[in-house]
Amino acid sequence: MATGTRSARAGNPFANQQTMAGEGTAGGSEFADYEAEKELCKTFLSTFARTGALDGTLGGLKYMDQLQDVANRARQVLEISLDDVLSLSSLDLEEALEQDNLAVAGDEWSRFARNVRDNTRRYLTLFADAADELMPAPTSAFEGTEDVFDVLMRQRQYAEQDNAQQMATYGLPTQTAEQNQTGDGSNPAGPGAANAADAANRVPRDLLRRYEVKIRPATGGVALGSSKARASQAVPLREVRAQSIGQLVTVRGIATKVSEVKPMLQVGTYTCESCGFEIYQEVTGNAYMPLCECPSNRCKVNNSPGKLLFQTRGSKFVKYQEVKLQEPADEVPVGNIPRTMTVQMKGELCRQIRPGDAVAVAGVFLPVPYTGYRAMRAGLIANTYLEAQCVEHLKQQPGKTRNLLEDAQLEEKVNRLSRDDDVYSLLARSICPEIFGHEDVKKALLVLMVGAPTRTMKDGMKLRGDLHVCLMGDPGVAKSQLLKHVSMVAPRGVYTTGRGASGVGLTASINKDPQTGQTTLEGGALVLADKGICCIDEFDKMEETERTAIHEVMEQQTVSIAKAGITTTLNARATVLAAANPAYSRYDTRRSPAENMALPASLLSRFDLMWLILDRADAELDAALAQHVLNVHRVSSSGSASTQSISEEVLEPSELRAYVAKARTFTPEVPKELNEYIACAYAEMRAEEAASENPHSYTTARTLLGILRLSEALARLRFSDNVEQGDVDEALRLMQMSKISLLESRDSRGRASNDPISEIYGIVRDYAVRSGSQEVPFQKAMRLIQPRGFREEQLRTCLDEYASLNVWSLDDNMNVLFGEDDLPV
Amino acid sequence: MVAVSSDPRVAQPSAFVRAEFERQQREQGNPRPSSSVIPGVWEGFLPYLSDPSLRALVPSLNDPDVALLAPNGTLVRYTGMVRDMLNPEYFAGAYQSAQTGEWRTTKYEDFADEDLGAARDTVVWERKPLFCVSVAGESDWVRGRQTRPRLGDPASDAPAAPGGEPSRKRPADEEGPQAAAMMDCDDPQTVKRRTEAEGQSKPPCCSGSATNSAAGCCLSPGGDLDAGALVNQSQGDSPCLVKLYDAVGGSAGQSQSQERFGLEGIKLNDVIEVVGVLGSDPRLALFQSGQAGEGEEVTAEDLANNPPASQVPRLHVICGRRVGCYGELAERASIAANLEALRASRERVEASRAKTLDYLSRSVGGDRLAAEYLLLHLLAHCRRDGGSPSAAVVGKHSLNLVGGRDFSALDCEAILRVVGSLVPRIRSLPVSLRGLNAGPLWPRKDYRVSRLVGGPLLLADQTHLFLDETQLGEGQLGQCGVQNFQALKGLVENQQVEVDFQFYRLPVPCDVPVTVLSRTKSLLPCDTCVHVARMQGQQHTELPSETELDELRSYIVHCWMLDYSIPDTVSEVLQQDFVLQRQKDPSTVGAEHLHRTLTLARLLSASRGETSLSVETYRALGELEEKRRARAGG
Repeated sequence: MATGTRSARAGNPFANQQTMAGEGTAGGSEFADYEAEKELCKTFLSTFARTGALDGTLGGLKYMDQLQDVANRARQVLEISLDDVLSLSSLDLEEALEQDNLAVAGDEWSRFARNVRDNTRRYLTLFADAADELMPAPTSAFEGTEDVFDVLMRQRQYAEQDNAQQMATYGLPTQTAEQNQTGDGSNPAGPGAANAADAANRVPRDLLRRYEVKIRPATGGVALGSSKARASQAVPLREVRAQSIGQLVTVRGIATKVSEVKPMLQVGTYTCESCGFEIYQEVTGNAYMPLCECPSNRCKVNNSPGKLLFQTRGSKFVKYQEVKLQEPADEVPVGNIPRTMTVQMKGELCRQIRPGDAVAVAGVFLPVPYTGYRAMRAGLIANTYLEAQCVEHLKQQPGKTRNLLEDAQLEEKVNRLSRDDDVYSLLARSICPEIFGHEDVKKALLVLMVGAPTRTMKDGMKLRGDLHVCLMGDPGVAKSQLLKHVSMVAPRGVYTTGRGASGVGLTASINKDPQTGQTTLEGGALVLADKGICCIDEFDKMEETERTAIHEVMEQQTVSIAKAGITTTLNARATVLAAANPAYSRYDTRRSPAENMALPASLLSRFDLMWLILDRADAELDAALAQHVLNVHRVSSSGSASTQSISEEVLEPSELRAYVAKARTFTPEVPKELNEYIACAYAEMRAEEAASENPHSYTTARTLLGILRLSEALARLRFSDNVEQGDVDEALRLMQMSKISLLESRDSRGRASNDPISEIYGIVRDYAVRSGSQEVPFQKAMRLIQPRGFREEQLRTCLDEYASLNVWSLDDNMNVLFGEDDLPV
Repeated sequence: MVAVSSDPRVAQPSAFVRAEFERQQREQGNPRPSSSVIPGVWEGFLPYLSDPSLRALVPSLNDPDVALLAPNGTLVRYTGMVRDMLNPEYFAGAYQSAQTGEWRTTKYEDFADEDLGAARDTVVWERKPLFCVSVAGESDWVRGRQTRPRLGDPASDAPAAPGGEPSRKRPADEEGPQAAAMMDCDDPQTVKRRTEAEGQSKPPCCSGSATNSAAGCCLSPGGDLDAGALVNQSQGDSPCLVKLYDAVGGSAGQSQSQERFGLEGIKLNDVIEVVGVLGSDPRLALFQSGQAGEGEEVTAEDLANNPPASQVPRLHVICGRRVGCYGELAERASIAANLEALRASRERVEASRAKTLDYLSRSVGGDRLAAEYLLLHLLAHCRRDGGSPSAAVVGKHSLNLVGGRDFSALDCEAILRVVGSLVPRIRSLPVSLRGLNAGPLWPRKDYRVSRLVGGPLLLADQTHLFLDETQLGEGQLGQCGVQNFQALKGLVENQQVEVDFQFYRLPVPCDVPVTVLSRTKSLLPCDTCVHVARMQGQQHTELPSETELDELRSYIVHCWMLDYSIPDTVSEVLQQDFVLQRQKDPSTVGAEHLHRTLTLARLLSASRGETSLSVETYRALGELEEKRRARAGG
């Protein structure tokens, strides 16, 4: 009775693992009762009702509906979600899956879900069997012509009837032949089953199925790749170990190699040359031994086994594709080489992944032994692969790529931070903490990371929300370090130099795939940074061609390409952070910024903020800097004490990232009351520019938009949906500071030359003029001066001093009141 | 033929492992093994790593004779640097015997004795292969360490011992036929390998790293089969596929010894010493040489990752440890004795310092100032705060020796020779326009063979990298050249090498002090640039003797390992000084400058054998810097 295929399977040391892994754990010491489990599958499929509200559809039997669609040939995949299984369980997600197998606690459904997860391969067949039995009749007539299978099925029916007649006529037993024919397949009916049942069993079920069963891991409703999906065994690729064999695991990775789609034989059909007998062979592994002798009774009796012919049309093939998945960069420990994993995609999953895609794949982790010669060579080693069940693209949901907000601990920390008054400075300090000072520059970078919401007008025009910043400075003022850090902290940051190192440049290039010869479009840094931050170092050394493309990116946020037969527009909603050296090595205030940077004004005006980073000598600051550097060096090589304990408190990059991510979820509005205030400020800037002899800025409508963007970003930082006047003030201050940084590069002393008291006076008075009110509350004044680094005592001194000069008067609460005529109207 | 040791654990380590496993199975009532850890094995073999007398019994794979002739399945040790980390392997780690129903283990082996197809049940375990090569750029005098003691050791020095005492002969006989079979099968490859070994045993300091890298990058058009074989050869000397099992280490409660003898968190370029079972079964070679069966495709990846055991032996690690560079040297007898003296007296340190300076100055044409800076540079090493690659590097130093117009490759070689006789690891890399444009220097993953290739910049920590820019002419850098240049720049500036994984780049932090030898100021942003003023008529006198050199080496080891601190009083002075300097010249004096000054101060203080910075040392540094700058100006 033992056929060739059977012994081949026995000779395979991994066969056990492949089909029955986890059995030991699933059912304790004895094997699980799979008939009962199948009944459970049936119950689940036939009774699970979706809760109507969730996806907007009405309630109903979710899986029966799916099966109905399958029967109507409107659907090829039966996707079973473990979330649904667990929703029947009384335990919550984590508990249900973490439940120790030995503990009897936990109800039927959570145990079932665990078993499905741990022994996925087996349950796939159980679900398929269950679905077969539940398959409803088609409700709508199938439209279109019959396909090959329909025709073949009918023929088989006829042939079977004929056969049965013949058998009846000659009175021959049919049992043995049929047993052999099913080969290496599952054969649920025992050998003693009636002939009638055999007739149905003879054709392998796989051949008749028009659908695939896929299992989707339990994630608790979040995306596959997100960190909260732990319960579904979403493990780093690195952590997939031998224990996971046979289980459903979810991994994230980048597809490095994608094979072409090939047909894979699932059920082979042969016909006998001499007797016309049809034989089926189910193929479960990735190799099979073709049958060559006809096992039919007639041939046996005649003692002249007929030759078997392979029937391509009658066999069942599935699409098959192999993908190499490489660990994503953020999961690779320092100094390690990323691990790769082979993923097998079958059926409808094929062609979902292209090389370079970042994906989360859920699948069954399986070993496959080498066969033939290879088995001899490889010794004990088995190849492993992931049989994909479910694929999700990470780039299509950029918000969820690394959704740190799902981490409860971080969320709590972020919430705690948001209540802190000083969070703005703290966040700014946390950018590139090893670089000392430059607080305003860091604030600008923080605002850049947060950005403003993009607005779409009624007519479809888009107003970008991305804040572009350009840093200028002499060589060696840590511009590059700032850029690198920002690109590291940002959820999606791309760092590149103007002389684009990749050859693709900043925008996009057309490449010929060396393997297939296909023309492909490859996105450059700006396209890759879509919805992220693109840090461009050496901006001034950029090639002319790329520079023209930047114009489009910075305002329209797209990249248009018309090359080599491809005409397309790619999204490039990237925030640009550029760094450049001044053209004459030092910034020359007598020349315009455009001249200084050797960049066209049209490009410069697209930057919301331009910053000139200078290194000035300042005894106090320098001493602090020296202290800082000394501390870094003082710690002996043991490295036990970190520098952080010495310097001020800063946030971890992950915390900063989480805060920014949360801030980005807000869409603040500018209230009507502020419109005039902003307009006033803008008009003032314009007037100022007109008054100066050689303007160093271009105040245009873009500047106004810039102010709005900055204010909105600042409101986001407060986790608020409303822009307040304070935000606008800070936005204006940042703009002002950026301008000052350009203007004052010549004098070695900045605003420190002014005495603080008169400066505070200036601030308060300016505010009163702008807002048009004669009263400035003390708290408001505090808020005005704090961002500029003044202290409360200084404010009080200033208030008192000027009050004694009768410039203004104070009430009991130190609120400032200007006289009627003191303010220009 | 290397004799088989009389120690049964050395001759047949697997027997011990199996016995241990089976004993435990019996005690527990023959359950299905749940964990791949076999208690007692790690402890059983640890002495062969930690105890010098037992360690001597274990043949070292770094010895080419041993590597060729050690019998399959014996205990060997191996020291090498991690060059690549392959995907984990899954293997049938334990099986239930068909005949007896007992569980057997195949841990630390390549093949099972029984046909696993007949086994009643199997358990899959995993192991992690690391591709290791001998430490790149290790100086001759360090390498001597591995061969010299062996010669005097009767236990392993056996080629001329036919028919020794019976206890030794028996296992040798047992191994005989198998070893002979191996020899037969591998003969052509053995010969090939031997010639290769000869070809590659050039002096490591001037080894053709450029040609090596060229071989690595010119893999492209040739057949896949070649690419697979080439990738292993282009990586370095005495390669070995080291396979790590579970978390190499025994049960809990041994934290202290595990700290010293553990392989947790191994990184690329780490140097490790491992003791384990040698796997040189000729069957492992069957992937190679056209023996592919019909219809089976053997990909370049298979070939690269399953090289014939004669080329790349397997080593199934039982225990291992990380090897530090200078710490290891300090334990050598020739060094340790000197160290004692150096620790004891300051005069001795002073004297050694003067001698070292004298010796170094010969290489730079008698220039004491350049020698002084060279000495400081030899002591450089860096550290990072925290583990993240983005953390700032503290204490890194790069030196640019500017030799003027007549600075030639010969002068460079002289410097290399002198420095190479003092430091344990040194590597030179000629930087020429053609070389830069020819092929990538940065490491990258070759996805056709699934391996990391291109290693001249992948160096073990504390390797001194000498870039010879004297051959750099005028011309245009291509795309590849620019990237090469950036890779070098990243190494000089941030002490990290970026590995290209096609879809992203991963930085690998390293500690490789870089010296640039050039005619004019180098393109690379070096920390210190010294213009060498060579005296006329300086002759290279003969080399000092080994003992003298050992004294100088000990001095360097001693200084390198010194602790360092900055007292508060000194830091006060430094701080004030910095503020003053900055007011004088804000454009050049900045944070960078201070970092550099502090690094140099540490090095100078270390070179004087001091463990904390003193004001005098700081002033002395000021004078040095003054002199150096004066030269650059003139």
